[in-house]
Amino acid sequence: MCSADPRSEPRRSAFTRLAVVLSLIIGGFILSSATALYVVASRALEAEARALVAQESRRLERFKAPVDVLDQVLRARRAPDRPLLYAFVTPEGACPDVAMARNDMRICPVGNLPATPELLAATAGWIAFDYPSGAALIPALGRITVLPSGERLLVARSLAAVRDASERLLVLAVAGGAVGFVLAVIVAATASRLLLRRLQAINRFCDDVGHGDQGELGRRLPIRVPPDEFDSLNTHLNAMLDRIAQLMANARQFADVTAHELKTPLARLRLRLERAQAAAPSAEAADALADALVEIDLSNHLVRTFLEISRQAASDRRGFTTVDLAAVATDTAQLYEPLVDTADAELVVDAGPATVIGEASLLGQVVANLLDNASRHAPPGSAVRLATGRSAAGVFLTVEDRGPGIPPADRERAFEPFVAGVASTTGGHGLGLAFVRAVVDRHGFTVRLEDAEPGLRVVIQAPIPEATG
Amino acid sequence: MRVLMVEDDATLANDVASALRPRGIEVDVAETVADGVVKAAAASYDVLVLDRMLPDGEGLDVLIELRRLEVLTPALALSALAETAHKVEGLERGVDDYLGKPFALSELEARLRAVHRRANAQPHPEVLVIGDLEVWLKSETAARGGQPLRLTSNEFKLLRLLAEHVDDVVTRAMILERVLGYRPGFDPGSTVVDVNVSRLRKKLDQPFEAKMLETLPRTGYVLRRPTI
Repeated sequence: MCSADPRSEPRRSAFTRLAVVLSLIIGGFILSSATALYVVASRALEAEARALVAQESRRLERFKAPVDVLDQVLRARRAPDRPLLYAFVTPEGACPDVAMARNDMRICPVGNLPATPELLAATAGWIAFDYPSGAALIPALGRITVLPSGERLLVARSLAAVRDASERLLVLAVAGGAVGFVLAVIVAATASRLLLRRLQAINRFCDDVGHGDQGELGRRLPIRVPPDEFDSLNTHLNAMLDRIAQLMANARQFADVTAHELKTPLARLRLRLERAQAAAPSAEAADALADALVEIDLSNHLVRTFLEISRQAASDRRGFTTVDLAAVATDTAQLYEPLVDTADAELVVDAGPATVIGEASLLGQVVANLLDNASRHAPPGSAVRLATGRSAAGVFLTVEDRGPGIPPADRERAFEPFVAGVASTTGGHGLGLAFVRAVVDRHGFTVRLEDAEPGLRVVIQAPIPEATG
Repeated sequence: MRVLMVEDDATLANDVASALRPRGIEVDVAETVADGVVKAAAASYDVLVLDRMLPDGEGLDVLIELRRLEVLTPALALSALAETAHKVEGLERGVDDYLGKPFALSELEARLRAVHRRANAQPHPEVLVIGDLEVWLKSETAARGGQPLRLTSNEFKLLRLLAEHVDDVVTRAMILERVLGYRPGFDPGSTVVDVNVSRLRKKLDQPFEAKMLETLPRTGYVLRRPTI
């Protein structure tokens, strides 16, 4: 339900991604709004310029005679509120005759625009062009009228103001977009940090419960009033925990009741058989009763191991302490060394420093189970290797024999109870590895089977305890 | 030896009583926690046997009640609840030993004697002397006929356990619990005990005329005091 391992922190954050996407959207929105404003505004300014030019052109067109046009142009140039541009030239771009006739060279060229090549090449109608003003080229929009006598009249409006306004708007758009983006990043980052903090609190809680170090299964997440979405999540998680705690309690109770109901009659039966054996009329009868006792002990052992396995699954990590796994391994190895010896094999122990959080007696039983299996499969003259230590991946314990091993396809199934694997064919009761898995799972360790080439290597991997790591 | 068995299964209790009487152990029966407390406080028993799931409660409560009355009779829990966790709980709550049901009579007998013997043992002897065998507890060494025995630490623990219960049966389960130091519930099969005992026997008995270590098939081992 929750991440069981605090080190499995996500490398990508959904909140960070959301924050970036939101910032991009907000920044982009501001940028595109400003751009749209720029487009609309520059079009409006341009339309205004066009209207002014059109109005002036139409007014001047009414004066057909070049001399009248000349007068109008000269007058218009003097009016301060007519910020229009004019050019009145012959088709060749020279000063018109009517102007030359005035004998006043100061009015030539007529107008305030030079006769650019575009102007001369164009026919009557609208024209967009650039004219030099000092060192710069300034865009302008104009209208050309051709007089019946052949002279050309250009009325134009500089678009410098339009351009300036547009540039300012563009700067505003980009700056606004950027500022908006930065603001959005800050807001999103703050929001995601706040959300993350609450999520992390939930994750930490889940880790604690998952580890069940101090009976954490009894703990519950806080619910605030009024509840928000996280409190709603907490409510659901709490309900799930209630259910899990209930199931675990049921499992433990079931195991206890099973044990009591099953073992009480078994105990009575065993006692009766023993008394019958003591009073057996013949040696055959005594032997048969002895066999029956062995069978009872065997089934009792199976029931007990089964209950032990189910209890592991139904228990948290209450009572766990710091355990010197190397010492546990060495102690157990001492006990099994003679057993391996009777199989004409050698037990090689390499107990490097290995500290784990767990229950020593359970871990000892795990090592015993593994050594028991290994001693059964070790060929004469081979070595059974038991090693503990610490690597980058954590604390490890390995048991290795040179026996037939387990084919890769059967390795996972070997941990299931009563699988006809290697154990059962050579006298194991088929619960050894199931018990190992149950204990390992309860501790939060992992166990896997590997090919020792040849033989079987069982690898148990445990996290390095936080206090010492 | 007098034993009070607090057990609600009357059939089982009576069978145990009649089976142990010929072996010199008198067994009285109490069927409830309350009855057990009254009987144990009234008479002086050598050992209490406590079932756990009794009609009026948890059998281990007998012990708590008795300790309050300053009755210090040693106790052995005898229960169907026999997983490691149960045994740990039992030992933490003050029983001296814990045996799961179903059980072998010989196992129960051996453990009753062991509990009784431990309760009455001299607190801290330095050396156990059995015939020509000397077991030095502090230095963890042993000698036979003046010759030191070269024992591993496991072998010494085993010899010490056998010596502490000289002439009494020490079962395989007891050896596992006491020698390996693991909590009861550890049950790796008996072969591992047998090979360890045979190792010890090689050093203890092989070079000597008189054999001390005796095997009882299906039950366990006895270290016999040599008859002179």
